[in-house]
Amino acid sequence: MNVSVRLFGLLPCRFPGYDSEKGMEVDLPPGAKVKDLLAQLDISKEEGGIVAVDGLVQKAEAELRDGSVLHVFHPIVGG
Amino acid sequence: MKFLRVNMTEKSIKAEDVPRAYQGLGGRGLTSIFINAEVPPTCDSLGPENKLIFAPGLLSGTTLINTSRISIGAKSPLTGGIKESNAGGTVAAALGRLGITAIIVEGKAPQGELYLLAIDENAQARLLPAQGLKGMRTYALVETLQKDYGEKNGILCIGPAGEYQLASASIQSTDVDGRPCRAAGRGGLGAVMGSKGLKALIVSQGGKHPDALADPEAFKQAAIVFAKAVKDHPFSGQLMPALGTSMLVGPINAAGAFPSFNATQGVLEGWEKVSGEKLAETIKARGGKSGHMGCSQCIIHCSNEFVDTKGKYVTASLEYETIWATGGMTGITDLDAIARMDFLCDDIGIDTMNTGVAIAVAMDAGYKPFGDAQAAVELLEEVAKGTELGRIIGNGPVAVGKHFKHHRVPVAKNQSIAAYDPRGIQGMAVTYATSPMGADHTAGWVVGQNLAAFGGKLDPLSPQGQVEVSRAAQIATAAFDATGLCQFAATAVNDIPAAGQALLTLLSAKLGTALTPEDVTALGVRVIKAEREFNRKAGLTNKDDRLARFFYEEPLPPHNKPVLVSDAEMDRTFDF
Repeated sequence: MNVSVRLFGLLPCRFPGYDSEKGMEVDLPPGAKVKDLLAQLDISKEEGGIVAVDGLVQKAEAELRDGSVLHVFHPIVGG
Repeated sequence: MKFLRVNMTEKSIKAEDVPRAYQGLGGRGLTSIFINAEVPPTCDSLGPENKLIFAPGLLSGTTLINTSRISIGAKSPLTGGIKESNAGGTVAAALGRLGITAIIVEGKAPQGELYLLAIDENAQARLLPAQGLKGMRTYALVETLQKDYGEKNGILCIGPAGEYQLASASIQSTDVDGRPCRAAGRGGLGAVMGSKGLKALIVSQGGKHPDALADPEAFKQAAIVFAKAVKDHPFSGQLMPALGTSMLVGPINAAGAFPSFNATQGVLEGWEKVSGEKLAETIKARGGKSGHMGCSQCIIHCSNEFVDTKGKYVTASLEYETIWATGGMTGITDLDAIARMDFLCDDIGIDTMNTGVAIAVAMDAGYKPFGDAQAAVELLEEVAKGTELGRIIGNGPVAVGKHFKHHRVPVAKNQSIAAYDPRGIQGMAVTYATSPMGADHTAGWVVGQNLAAFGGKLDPLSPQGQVEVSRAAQIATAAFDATGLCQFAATAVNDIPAAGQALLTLLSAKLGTALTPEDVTALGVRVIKAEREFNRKAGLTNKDDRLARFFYEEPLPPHNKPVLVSDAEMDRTFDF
């Protein structure tokens, strides 16, 4: 399946040619979870602490669906 | 180890040894325990019985990094309860190096009189008449004071809002560049300073007599470990210098918890235009500064200098909470307009958060349309002029709600919430409602735990487990706020065991007692107990530990949840 991923903070620097307007498409096996996406992109849990799937923040074990739109943020500390 | 007691009625200054009851305390620990002991809880917060205390942290004035947070305490004219508002800048480190544990301002100058308090490099203090500075805005004031007293001073001051004694008035603090752009914004302590007749505190940065350390060698070693951990941690070492606090705009919008259009939406349409990424890009393109140093001894550098299209200074530092209050809440997604409002708030001496929300309430009530930046700027100018409408805005969201007969006023204990909607992150409902300070995000920030992908099972939309995390965060924060350390250095303390141990060693080496983690927790509990005791005696009850009614009745899109934490659950937060 295919998901659309947008990266924030310093994460885009890790992916040469990343387009901040469009994000990037990622292929994943069926049934893949949030943690699988991060593993495939080699984003550690220290780097990719917050993941929103289709506008809702999800935990690492949440399953993804084909066509999901993901936003990946760094872990955050108060404001 | 001394208190400076400044009596504004008698125009006297007395230096005294720190009384035994307050020894070993600093920052919020000292201000709150002092206010609870010495201020009559039912007094008029703008009258002579209230006291204004300025206390650097326990570690301020030492060589440790990031220790220039100053705690300012008094009875609040906004909440009617106890208040500790803290700010960065240069004054805490300067006071620490002078060996001053606290400055206590008592009494009240006769109406219309205005004074400066100047403290030289030998910790000698003088009260000086300042009638000529009446009505001055903070940028011009600081420039004048630096000309008269020299640039090697840290300054805390009020602007027109403080002189008018408005309930959102701030105390502004100079940064390392000498600009009054750091603020003890919350709770109207600028009004208390104004009521005393004190326009500014001028503190020499040339002090060479900090309190002796009990174990200098252990302190030195631990300070090295601590600094390394702060530098090594990705958040404080890389992310904050790159993006600053506004890095939060993206994730909080993605979580549907960015209160927008006066807390009627959880996502600000067009948030990408005011995100941390956009801010950094704009600043870079125009030749401003990101990764800028704002506070003495800081190695994180989360500050920025926002410039206009011609590269001319507009404001420092544009922060997440300000972008939210003056942008998200008002529906304004123009960074230039937001930066202008930030500057005006600093210059007038008023809390960006309470004031942005006050303007949003006025817009929601139909006074002006959402998104009208010109109207928002004009309202701030009304505050500066002290017009009737300006005073209503400057007294905060509740005053505005009463004036326009509008029910949707996002506050707890009269103080505006911050940039995390309590319906989108239910743990923040607990912190806002139960903090003795009123709605205060820094009192117990539980956003990270709620949103973290790898952070256990906490669901931001469920009340389950939220009381426990808020309680723990509020206790830990109350203790941490006693140290004078910046909360952004706390990341390393939480995540890197060596840094947590180093902090215990630093405190032990300063105080000459071997502290355990349990001692630190006990300090946090002691501080909160003192604050709640003061509030109870001031007339606040459990019924005040609630959010504004609409948060329970109006679900927030996109998740369409109200606050689900019950009153009984709220009351369990501090059942000690």
